[in-house]
Amino acid sequence: MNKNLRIIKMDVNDNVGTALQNIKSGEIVDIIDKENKRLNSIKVINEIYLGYKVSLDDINIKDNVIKYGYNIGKAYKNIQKGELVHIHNIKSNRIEIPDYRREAMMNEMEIYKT
Amino acid sequence: MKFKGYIRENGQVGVRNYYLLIGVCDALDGILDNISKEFKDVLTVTSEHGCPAAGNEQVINNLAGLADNPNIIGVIIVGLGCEGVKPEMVKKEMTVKKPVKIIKVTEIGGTIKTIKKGREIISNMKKKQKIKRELIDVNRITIGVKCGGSDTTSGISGNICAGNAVDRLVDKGGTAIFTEPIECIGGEENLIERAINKKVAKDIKNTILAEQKRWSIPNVDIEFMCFGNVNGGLSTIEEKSLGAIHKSGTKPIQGVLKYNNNILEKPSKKGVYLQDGTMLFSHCITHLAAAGCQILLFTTGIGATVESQIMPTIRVCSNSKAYNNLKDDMDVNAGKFIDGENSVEEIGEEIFNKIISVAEGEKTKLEGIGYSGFSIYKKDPRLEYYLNKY
Repeated sequence: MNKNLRIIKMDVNDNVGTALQNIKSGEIVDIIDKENKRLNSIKVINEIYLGYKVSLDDINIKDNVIKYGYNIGKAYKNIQKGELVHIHNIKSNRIEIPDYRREAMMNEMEIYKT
Repeated sequence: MKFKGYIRENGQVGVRNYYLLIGVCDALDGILDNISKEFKDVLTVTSEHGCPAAGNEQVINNLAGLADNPNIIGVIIVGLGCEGVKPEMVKKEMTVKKPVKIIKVTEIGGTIKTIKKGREIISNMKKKQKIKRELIDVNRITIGVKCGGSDTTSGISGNICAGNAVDRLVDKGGTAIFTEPIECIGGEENLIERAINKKVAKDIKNTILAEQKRWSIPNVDIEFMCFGNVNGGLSTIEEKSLGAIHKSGTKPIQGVLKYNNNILEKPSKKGVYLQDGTMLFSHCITHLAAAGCQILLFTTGIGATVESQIMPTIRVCSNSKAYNNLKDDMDVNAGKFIDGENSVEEIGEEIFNKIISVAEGEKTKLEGIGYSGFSIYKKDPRLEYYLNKY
Protein backbone atom coordinates (compact mmCIF):
# COMPACT_ATOMS: atom_id res chain seq x y z
CA MET A 1 0.00 0.00 0.00
CA ASN A 2 1.13 3.49 -0.90
CA LYS A 3 1.60 5.32 2.42
CA ASN A 4 2.41 8.69 0.85
CA LEU A 5 -0.12 11.51 0.88
CA ARG A 6 -2.43 10.95 -2.06
CA ILE A 7 -4.81 12.77 -4.39
CA ILE A 8 -7.06 10.60 -6.57
CA LYS A 9 -7.65 11.50 -10.22
CA MET A 10 -10.85 9.71 -11.26
CA ASP A 11 -10.36 10.02 -15.06
CA VAL A 12 -7.41 10.75 -17.38
CA ASN A 13 -9.07 13.96 -18.60
CA ASP A 14 -9.66 15.43 -15.14
CA ASN A 15 -8.13 18.78 -14.20
CA VAL A 16 -8.96 18.32 -10.51
CA GLY A 17 -8.14 15.56 -8.06
CA THR A 18 -9.60 14.68 -4.65
CA ALA A 19 -7.50 14.55 -1.47
CA LEU A 20 -7.59 11.17 0.26
CA GLN A 21 -6.37 12.69 3.53
CA ASN A 22 -5.71 16.11 5.01
CA ILE A 23 -2.81 17.89 3.29
CA LYS A 24 -0.89 20.91 4.55
CA SER A 25 0.03 23.85 2.38
CA GLY A 26 3.33 23.28 0.60
CA GLU A 27 3.30 19.49 0.86
CA ILE A 28 4.14 17.37 -2.17
CA VAL A 29 1.64 14.57 -2.70
CA ASP A 30 1.20 11.63 -5.07
CA ILE A 31 -1.50 11.70 -7.72
CA ILE A 32 -3.03 8.23 -8.12
CA ASP A 33 -5.63 6.79 -10.49
CA LYS A 34 -8.71 4.72 -9.60
CA GLU A 35 -6.60 1.55 -9.55
CA ASN A 36 -4.36 3.10 -6.88
CA LYS A 37 -1.52 3.45 -9.42
CA ARG A 38 0.83 6.40 -8.88
CA LEU A 39 0.74 8.78 -11.86
CA ASN A 40 2.95 11.69 -10.73
CA SER A 41 3.15 14.17 -7.90
CA ILE A 42 2.07 17.74 -7.22
CA LYS A 43 2.91 20.51 -4.77
CA VAL A 44 -0.23 21.66 -2.97
CA ILE A 45 -0.36 25.41 -2.30
CA ASN A 46 -3.29 25.60 0.18
CA GLU A 47 -4.34 23.53 3.12
CA ILE A 48 -6.63 20.79 1.74
CA TYR A 49 -8.94 18.56 3.80
CA LEU A 50 -9.84 14.96 3.09
CA GLY A 51 -12.31 14.91 0.19
CA TYR A 52 -11.56 18.43 -1.02
CA LYS A 53 -10.41 19.07 -4.57
CA VAL A 54 -7.03 20.24 -5.80
CA SER A 55 -6.36 21.75 -9.21
CA LEU A 56 -4.04 19.54 -11.24
CA ASP A 57 -3.42 22.28 -13.83
CA ASP A 58 -3.78 26.01 -14.09
CA ILE A 59 -7.50 26.62 -14.74
CA ASN A 60 -8.45 29.99 -16.22
CA ILE A 61 -11.57 31.94 -15.42
CA LYS A 62 -14.55 30.53 -17.42
CA ASP A 63 -12.69 27.25 -18.09
CA ASN A 64 -14.56 24.03 -17.44
CA VAL A 65 -13.64 21.98 -14.40
CA ILE A 66 -13.40 18.28 -15.23
CA LYS A 67 -13.87 15.40 -12.77
CA TYR A 68 -14.86 11.79 -13.53
CA GLY A 69 -14.11 12.82 -17.16
CA TYR A 70 -17.14 15.13 -17.18
CA ASN A 71 -17.80 18.82 -16.74
CA ILE A 72 -18.64 19.61 -13.10
CA GLY A 73 -18.76 23.41 -13.43
CA LYS A 74 -16.91 26.56 -14.43
CA ALA A 75 -14.12 28.52 -12.80
CA TYR A 76 -15.21 32.02 -11.83
CA LYS A 77 -11.70 32.93 -10.74
CA ASN A 78 -8.31 31.94 -12.11
CA ILE A 79 -7.10 28.84 -10.33
CA GLN A 80 -3.44 27.87 -10.01
CA LYS A 81 -2.08 24.35 -10.20
CA GLY A 82 -2.10 22.89 -6.67
CA GLU A 83 -4.80 25.24 -5.40
CA LEU A 84 -7.95 24.33 -3.48
CA VAL A 85 -10.96 24.04 -5.84
CA HIS A 86 -14.33 24.62 -4.19
CA ILE A 87 -17.28 26.99 -4.02
CA HIS A 88 -15.01 30.06 -3.70
CA ASN A 89 -13.70 29.58 -7.25
CA ILE A 90 -16.10 27.32 -9.20
CA LYS A 91 -19.84 27.40 -9.94
CA SER A 92 -22.31 24.97 -11.48
CA ASN A 93 -23.29 25.24 -15.14
CA ARG A 94 -26.72 23.81 -14.32
CA ILE A 95 -28.20 25.07 -11.04
CA GLU A 96 -26.36 27.59 -8.91
CA ILE A 97 -26.26 27.63 -5.14
CA PRO A 98 -28.02 30.88 -4.12
CA ASP A 99 -25.33 33.54 -3.55
CA TYR A 100 -26.35 34.31 0.03
CA ARG A 101 -26.19 30.59 0.89
CA ARG A 102 -22.79 30.28 -0.81
CA GLU A 103 -21.49 33.06 1.42
CA ALA A 104 -23.15 31.67 4.55
CA MET A 105 -21.64 28.24 3.91
CA MET A 106 -18.18 29.72 3.34
CA ASN A 107 -18.45 31.63 6.63
CA GLU A 108 -19.29 28.41 8.42
CA MET A 109 -16.62 26.19 6.84
CA GLU A 110 -13.36 25.54 8.64
CA ILE A 111 -11.35 25.48 5.42
CA TYR A 112 -12.05 29.18 4.82
CA LYS A 113 -10.95 30.10 8.33
CA THR A 114 -7.42 28.72 7.95
CA MET B 1 -28.44 -18.64 -6.67
CA LYS B 2 -31.06 -18.98 -3.96
CA PHE B 3 -31.89 -17.33 -0.65
CA LYS B 4 -34.37 -17.97 2.12
CA GLY B 5 -37.35 -15.65 1.90
CA TYR B 6 -41.08 -15.64 2.45
CA ILE B 7 -43.28 -16.75 -0.44
CA ARG B 8 -46.74 -15.26 -0.09
CA GLU B 9 -49.99 -16.82 -1.24
CA ASN B 10 -50.30 -13.97 -3.75
CA GLY B 11 -46.94 -14.92 -5.28
CA GLN B 12 -44.97 -12.04 -3.74
CA VAL B 13 -41.62 -12.63 -2.07
CA GLY B 14 -40.94 -10.79 1.18
CA VAL B 15 -37.89 -10.53 3.41
CA ARG B 16 -39.73 -9.25 6.51
CA ASN B 17 -43.27 -9.55 7.84
CA TYR B 18 -45.02 -6.35 8.82
CA TYR B 19 -48.60 -5.17 9.09
CA LEU B 20 -49.40 -1.73 7.77
CA LEU B 21 -51.84 0.68 9.37
CA ILE B 22 -52.81 3.43 6.96
CA GLY B 23 -54.54 6.63 8.02
CA VAL B 24 -56.04 8.29 4.96
CA CYS B 25 -55.93 11.78 6.46
CA ASP B 26 -53.65 13.79 8.68
CA ALA B 27 -55.89 13.64 11.75
CA LEU B 28 -55.40 9.97 12.52
CA ASP B 29 -51.91 9.70 14.02
CA GLY B 30 -53.14 9.24 17.59
CA ILE B 31 -55.46 6.41 16.68
CA LEU B 32 -52.79 4.70 14.62
CA ASP B 33 -50.11 5.09 17.31
CA ASN B 34 -52.47 3.69 19.93
CA ILE B 35 -53.25 0.64 17.83
CA SER B 36 -49.67 -0.03 16.81
CA LYS B 37 -48.04 0.37 20.22
CA GLU B 38 -49.51 -2.96 21.27
CA PHE B 39 -47.48 -4.75 18.58
CA LYS B 40 -43.86 -4.94 17.44
CA ASP B 41 -44.56 -5.57 13.78
CA VAL B 42 -47.16 -2.94 12.95
CA LEU B 43 -46.04 0.10 10.92
CA THR B 44 -48.14 3.23 10.60
CA VAL B 45 -48.46 5.79 7.85
CA THR B 46 -50.66 8.85 7.57
CA SER B 47 -50.80 11.48 4.87
CA GLU B 48 -49.48 14.89 5.80
CA HIS B 49 -51.22 16.30 2.74
CA GLY B 50 -54.70 16.37 4.25
CA CYS B 51 -57.81 14.64 3.01
CA PRO B 52 -59.03 16.21 -0.26
CA ALA B 53 -59.01 13.67 -3.09
CA ALA B 54 -58.41 15.85 -6.17
CA GLY B 55 -54.74 16.76 -6.28
CA ASN B 56 -53.86 14.00 -3.80
CA GLU B 57 -53.74 11.16 -6.32
CA GLN B 58 -50.02 10.72 -5.69
CA VAL B 59 -50.71 10.30 -1.97
CA ILE B 60 -53.28 7.59 -2.67
CA ASN B 61 -50.84 5.82 -5.00
CA ASN B 62 -48.06 5.94 -2.41
CA LEU B 63 -50.32 4.56 0.31
CA ALA B 64 -51.54 1.77 -2.01
CA GLY B 65 -47.95 1.07 -3.07
CA LEU B 66 -46.83 0.72 0.55
CA ALA B 67 -49.75 -1.66 1.15
CA ASP B 68 -48.61 -3.64 -1.90
CA ASN B 69 -45.00 -3.85 -0.66
CA PRO B 70 -43.96 -7.51 -0.37
CA ASN B 71 -42.77 -7.02 3.24
CA ILE B 72 -46.37 -6.17 4.23
CA ILE B 73 -48.60 -9.14 5.05
CA GLY B 74 -51.77 -7.40 6.21
CA VAL B 75 -53.27 -3.94 5.88
CA ILE B 76 -55.77 -1.89 7.86
CA ILE B 77 -56.94 1.35 6.33
CA VAL B 78 -58.41 3.79 8.81
CA GLY B 79 -60.58 6.77 7.92
CA LEU B 80 -62.51 9.31 9.94
CA GLY B 81 -65.42 8.83 7.55
CA CYS B 82 -65.61 12.35 6.16
CA GLU B 83 -62.49 12.41 4.00
CA GLY B 84 -62.21 13.07 0.31
CA VAL B 85 -59.54 10.36 0.18
CA LYS B 86 -61.64 7.36 1.15
CA PRO B 87 -60.03 4.18 2.48
CA GLU B 88 -61.73 2.37 -0.41
CA MET B 89 -59.78 4.49 -2.90
CA VAL B 90 -56.50 3.27 -1.44
CA LYS B 91 -57.70 -0.33 -1.50
CA LYS B 92 -58.81 0.05 -5.12
CA GLU B 93 -55.33 1.19 -6.19
CA MET B 94 -53.66 -1.86 -4.65
CA THR B 95 -52.43 -4.32 -7.27
CA VAL B 96 -51.85 -7.44 -5.16
CA LYS B 97 -54.23 -9.49 -3.08
CA LYS B 98 -53.59 -9.62 0.64
CA PRO B 99 -55.71 -9.25 3.79
CA VAL B 100 -57.09 -5.68 3.88
CA LYS B 101 -59.62 -4.30 6.37
CA ILE B 102 -61.20 -0.87 6.41
CA ILE B 103 -62.42 0.89 9.56
CA LYS B 104 -63.99 4.32 9.92
CA VAL B 105 -64.16 6.25 13.18
CA THR B 106 -67.59 7.75 12.59
CA GLU B 107 -69.10 4.39 11.65
CA ILE B 108 -67.61 2.51 14.60
CA GLY B 109 -68.63 5.13 17.13
CA GLY B 110 -65.50 7.02 18.11
CA THR B 111 -61.79 7.00 18.69
CA ILE B 112 -61.60 4.55 21.61
CA LYS B 113 -63.74 1.98 19.81
CA THR B 114 -61.67 2.36 16.65
CA ILE B 115 -58.45 1.71 18.56
CA LYS B 116 -59.97 -1.41 20.13
CA LYS B 117 -61.26 -2.62 16.77
CA GLY B 118 -57.92 -2.01 15.09
CA ARG B 119 -56.08 -4.08 17.69
CA GLU B 120 -58.65 -6.88 17.32
CA ILE B 121 -58.25 -6.96 13.54
CA ILE B 122 -54.48 -7.19 13.74
CA SER B 123 -54.62 -9.95 16.37
CA ASN B 124 -56.96 -11.91 14.10
CA MET B 125 -54.77 -11.36 11.03
CA LYS B 126 -51.77 -12.64 12.97
CA LYS B 127 -53.55 -15.87 13.91
CA LYS B 128 -54.12 -16.71 10.26
CA GLN B 129 -50.57 -16.10 9.01
CA LYS B 130 -48.36 -19.02 8.05
CA ILE B 131 -44.81 -17.70 8.26
CA LYS B 132 -41.87 -19.83 7.21
CA ARG B 133 -38.81 -19.07 5.09
CA GLU B 134 -38.27 -21.08 1.92
CA LEU B 135 -35.55 -21.22 -0.74
CA ILE B 136 -36.26 -18.77 -3.54
CA ASP B 137 -34.24 -17.53 -6.48
CA VAL B 138 -32.24 -14.35 -5.84
CA ASN B 139 -33.85 -12.89 -8.97
CA ARG B 140 -36.90 -12.16 -6.78
CA ILE B 141 -34.96 -9.52 -4.84
CA THR B 142 -35.60 -5.84 -5.63
CA ILE B 143 -33.47 -3.27 -3.86
CA GLY B 144 -33.75 0.48 -3.67
CA VAL B 145 -30.47 2.37 -3.90
CA LYS B 146 -30.18 5.80 -2.34
CA CYS B 147 -27.35 8.04 -1.19
CA GLY B 148 -27.51 10.63 1.54
CA GLY B 149 -25.20 12.73 3.62
CA SER B 150 -22.95 12.63 0.56
CA ASP B 151 -19.48 14.09 0.37
CA THR B 152 -16.69 13.64 -2.15
CA THR B 153 -15.74 10.24 -0.71
CA SER B 154 -19.23 8.96 -1.68
CA GLY B 155 -18.27 9.17 -5.35
CA ILE B 156 -14.85 7.61 -4.82
CA SER B 157 -15.77 4.56 -2.74
CA GLY B 158 -19.31 4.10 -1.34
CA ASN B 159 -21.32 4.64 -4.50
CA ILE B 160 -18.87 2.75 -6.71
CA CYS B 161 -18.86 -0.24 -4.35
CA ALA B 162 -22.68 -0.12 -4.03
CA GLY B 163 -22.83 -0.03 -7.85
CA ASN B 164 -20.63 -3.11 -7.96
CA ALA B 165 -23.09 -4.91 -5.65
CA VAL B 166 -25.99 -3.74 -7.85
CA ASP B 167 -24.19 -5.22 -10.89
CA ARG B 168 -23.82 -8.53 -9.05
CA LEU B 169 -27.54 -8.61 -8.14
CA VAL B 170 -28.59 -7.72 -11.70
CA ASP B 171 -26.25 -10.38 -13.13
CA LYS B 172 -28.17 -12.91 -11.04
CA GLY B 173 -31.49 -11.65 -12.39
CA GLY B 174 -32.44 -9.24 -9.61
CA THR B 175 -33.77 -5.69 -9.80
CA ALA B 176 -32.45 -2.37 -8.51
CA ILE B 177 -34.19 1.00 -8.47
CA PHE B 178 -32.25 4.22 -8.09
CA THR B 179 -33.92 7.57 -7.97
CA GLU B 180 -33.26 11.25 -7.27
CA PRO B 181 -33.23 12.69 -10.82
CA ILE B 182 -31.87 15.95 -9.35
CA GLU B 183 -28.73 13.99 -8.54
CA CYS B 184 -28.46 12.90 -12.16
CA ILE B 185 -28.04 16.49 -13.38
CA GLY B 186 -24.65 16.51 -15.07
CA GLY B 187 -24.52 12.72 -15.29
CA GLU B 188 -26.97 12.34 -18.17
CA GLU B 189 -24.38 11.21 -20.69
CA ASN B 190 -23.45 8.10 -18.72
CA LEU B 191 -27.09 7.19 -17.96
CA ILE B 192 -28.32 7.74 -21.52
CA GLU B 193 -25.56 5.48 -22.86
CA ARG B 194 -26.93 2.72 -20.64
CA ALA B 195 -30.57 3.03 -21.83
CA ILE B 196 -31.87 -0.18 -23.43
CA ASN B 197 -33.43 1.74 -26.31
CA LYS B 198 -34.04 5.22 -27.71
CA LYS B 199 -37.33 5.67 -25.87
CA VAL B 200 -35.72 4.96 -22.51
CA ALA B 201 -32.84 7.30 -23.42
CA LYS B 202 -35.35 10.05 -24.14
CA ASP B 203 -37.27 9.34 -20.92
CA ILE B 204 -34.06 9.59 -18.88
CA LYS B 205 -33.13 12.90 -20.49
CA ASN B 206 -36.61 14.41 -20.11
CA THR B 207 -37.02 13.26 -16.50
CA ILE B 208 -33.73 14.90 -15.49
CA LEU B 209 -34.44 18.11 -17.42
CA ALA B 210 -37.92 18.37 -15.86
CA GLU B 211 -36.32 18.08 -12.42
CA GLN B 212 -33.76 20.77 -13.27
CA LYS B 213 -36.68 23.03 -14.23
CA ARG B 214 -38.39 22.44 -10.88
CA TRP B 215 -35.26 23.59 -9.07
CA SER B 216 -34.46 26.62 -11.24
CA ILE B 217 -37.42 28.94 -10.91
CA PRO B 218 -36.19 32.48 -11.69
CA ASN B 219 -35.83 34.78 -8.67
CA VAL B 220 -36.55 31.98 -6.19
CA ASP B 221 -33.63 30.94 -3.99
CA ILE B 222 -33.81 27.23 -3.31
CA GLU B 223 -31.14 25.13 -1.66
CA PHE B 224 -30.64 21.73 -3.23
CA MET B 225 -27.25 20.80 -1.76
CA CYS B 226 -27.08 20.78 2.00
CA PHE B 227 -24.30 22.33 4.05
CA GLY B 228 -22.96 18.85 4.84
CA ASN B 229 -22.46 18.13 1.13
CA VAL B 230 -20.49 21.34 0.59
CA ASN B 231 -18.57 21.01 3.84
CA GLY B 232 -17.75 17.50 2.65
CA GLY B 233 -16.07 18.91 -0.44
CA LEU B 234 -18.85 18.81 -3.06
CA SER B 235 -18.89 22.09 -5.01
CA THR B 236 -21.62 21.70 -7.65
CA ILE B 237 -24.69 19.59 -8.43
CA GLU B 238 -22.83 18.08 -11.40
CA GLU B 239 -20.04 16.85 -9.14
CA LYS B 240 -22.55 15.46 -6.66
CA SER B 241 -24.48 13.72 -9.47
CA LEU B 242 -21.45 12.19 -11.15
CA GLY B 243 -20.52 10.65 -7.81
CA ALA B 244 -24.10 9.66 -7.02
CA ILE B 245 -24.97 7.84 -10.25
CA HIS B 246 -22.20 5.29 -9.63
CA LYS B 247 -24.52 3.68 -7.09
CA SER B 248 -26.71 2.45 -9.96
CA GLY B 249 -23.89 0.26 -11.25
CA THR B 250 -23.03 -0.20 -14.91
CA LYS B 251 -25.82 -2.43 -16.25
CA PRO B 252 -28.40 -1.39 -18.89
CA ILE B 253 -31.23 0.87 -17.68
CA GLN B 254 -34.58 -0.77 -18.43
CA GLY B 255 -36.74 2.29 -18.03
CA VAL B 256 -37.82 5.32 -16.03
CA LEU B 257 -40.51 4.60 -13.46
CA LYS B 258 -42.96 7.42 -14.01
CA TYR B 259 -44.49 9.36 -11.16
CA ASN B 260 -47.33 11.83 -11.58
CA ASN B 261 -51.01 12.25 -10.71
CA ASN B 262 -51.95 9.26 -12.84
CA ILE B 263 -49.30 6.71 -11.99
CA LEU B 264 -46.70 5.46 -9.55
CA GLU B 265 -44.97 3.03 -11.84
CA LYS B 266 -43.37 -0.23 -10.71
CA PRO B 267 -40.75 -2.28 -12.58
CA SER B 268 -42.28 -4.51 -15.24
CA LYS B 269 -39.04 -6.42 -15.89
CA LYS B 270 -35.85 -7.32 -14.04
CA GLY B 271 -32.79 -5.09 -14.08
CA VAL B 272 -31.98 -1.46 -13.30
CA TYR B 273 -34.58 1.32 -13.25
CA LEU B 274 -34.44 5.05 -12.65
CA GLN B 275 -37.40 6.25 -10.62
CA ASP B 276 -38.73 9.75 -11.12
CA GLY B 277 -38.82 11.10 -7.57
CA THR B 278 -37.18 13.18 -4.92
CA MET B 279 -33.86 13.16 -3.07
CA LEU B 280 -35.48 13.92 0.32
CA PHE B 281 -34.79 10.88 2.46
CA SER B 282 -38.04 9.83 4.07
CA HIS B 283 -40.11 10.85 1.03
CA CYS B 284 -37.75 8.99 -1.27
CA ILE B 285 -37.77 5.76 0.70
CA THR B 286 -41.57 5.76 0.95
CA HIS B 287 -41.61 6.04 -2.81
CA LEU B 288 -39.04 3.24 -3.29
CA ALA B 289 -41.02 1.00 -0.94
CA ALA B 290 -44.20 1.85 -2.85
CA ALA B 291 -42.47 0.69 -6.04
CA GLY B 292 -41.89 -2.70 -4.40
CA CYS B 293 -38.34 -2.67 -3.00
CA GLN B 294 -37.75 -5.15 -0.18
CA ILE B 295 -34.33 -3.84 0.91
CA LEU B 296 -32.67 -0.43 0.84
CA LEU B 297 -29.00 0.08 0.07
CA PHE B 298 -27.98 3.45 1.47
CA THR B 299 -24.59 5.02 0.88
CA THR B 300 -23.19 7.92 2.83
CA GLY B 301 -20.03 9.98 3.08
CA ILE B 302 -20.54 12.19 6.09
CA GLY B 303 -22.32 9.35 7.87
CA ALA B 304 -26.09 9.78 7.75
CA THR B 305 -27.54 7.23 10.16
CA VAL B 306 -30.91 6.49 8.65
CA GLU B 307 -33.07 3.40 8.33
CA SER B 308 -36.35 2.65 6.59
CA GLN B 309 -39.07 0.95 8.64
CA ILE B 310 -40.37 -1.21 5.84
CA MET B 311 -37.13 -1.99 3.95
CA PRO B 312 -34.20 -3.13 6.13
CA THR B 313 -31.46 -0.62 5.28
CA ILE B 314 -27.82 -1.48 4.64
CA ARG B 315 -25.69 1.59 5.32
CA VAL B 316 -22.47 1.75 3.34
CA CYS B 317 -20.03 4.33 4.68
CA SER B 318 -17.59 5.84 2.20
CA ASN B 319 -14.65 6.73 4.43
CA SER B 320 -13.05 5.20 7.50
CA LYS B 321 -13.14 8.45 9.47
CA ALA B 322 -16.96 8.55 9.45
CA TYR B 323 -17.15 4.75 9.76
CA ASN B 324 -14.99 4.64 12.88
CA ASN B 325 -17.01 7.45 14.42
CA LEU B 326 -20.29 5.63 13.65
CA LYS B 327 -19.26 1.98 13.84
CA ASP B 328 -22.39 1.02 15.78
CA ASP B 329 -24.58 2.37 12.97
CA MET B 330 -22.75 1.57 9.73
CA ASP B 331 -23.11 -1.87 8.13
CA VAL B 332 -20.24 -1.76 5.61
CA ASN B 333 -17.07 0.35 5.45
CA ALA B 334 -16.33 1.14 1.79
CA GLY B 335 -13.65 3.51 3.08
CA LYS B 336 -11.36 0.47 3.06
CA PHE B 337 -10.99 1.15 -0.66
CA ILE B 338 -9.70 4.67 -0.01
CA ASP B 339 -7.36 3.27 2.64
CA GLY B 340 -5.96 0.91 0.00
CA GLU B 341 -7.00 -2.16 2.01
CA ASN B 342 -9.64 -3.62 -0.32
CA SER B 343 -10.59 -3.39 -3.98
CA VAL B 344 -13.98 -2.23 -5.28
CA GLU B 345 -14.65 -5.87 -6.25
CA GLU B 346 -13.99 -7.09 -2.71
CA ILE B 347 -16.20 -4.46 -1.08
CA GLY B 348 -18.87 -4.93 -3.79
CA GLU B 349 -18.93 -8.63 -2.92
CA GLU B 350 -19.16 -7.82 0.79
CA ILE B 351 -22.17 -5.57 0.12
CA PHE B 352 -23.83 -8.16 -2.12
CA ASN B 353 -23.36 -10.84 0.56
CA LYS B 354 -24.84 -8.44 3.09
CA ILE B 355 -27.90 -7.95 0.86
CA ILE B 356 -28.43 -11.72 0.81
CA SER B 357 -27.95 -12.20 4.55
CA VAL B 358 -30.26 -9.28 5.34
CA ALA B 359 -32.80 -10.74 2.90
CA GLU B 360 -32.55 -13.97 4.90
CA GLY B 361 -33.34 -12.21 8.15
CA GLU B 362 -30.06 -10.82 9.52
CA LYS B 363 -30.86 -7.53 11.20
CA THR B 364 -29.14 -4.40 9.94
CA LYS B 365 -27.39 -2.28 12.57
CA LEU B 366 -30.33 0.11 12.96
CA GLU B 367 -33.25 -2.11 12.06
CA GLY B 368 -36.21 -1.27 14.28
CA ILE B 369 -34.18 1.49 15.99
CA GLY B 370 -33.02 4.39 13.86
CA TYR B 371 -35.89 4.58 11.43
CA SER B 372 -37.47 7.58 9.79
CA GLY B 373 -41.18 8.12 9.27
CA PHE B 374 -43.15 7.71 6.07
CA SER B 375 -43.28 11.07 4.35
CA ILE B 376 -44.98 11.25 0.98
CA TYR B 377 -43.43 13.16 -1.91
CA LYS B 378 -45.99 14.96 -3.98
CA LYS B 379 -45.27 16.97 -7.10
CA ASP B 380 -47.61 19.92 -6.76
CA PRO B 381 -49.96 19.52 -9.75
CA ARG B 382 -50.35 23.32 -9.95
CA LEU B 383 -46.62 23.90 -10.30
CA GLU B 384 -46.35 21.01 -12.76
CA TYR B 385 -48.99 22.65 -14.94
CA TYR B 386 -47.09 25.92 -15.16
CA LEU B 387 -43.74 24.21 -15.63
CA ASN B 388 -45.12 22.27 -18.57
CA LYS B 389 -46.72 25.39 -20.00
CA TYR B 390 -43.68 27.65 -19.96
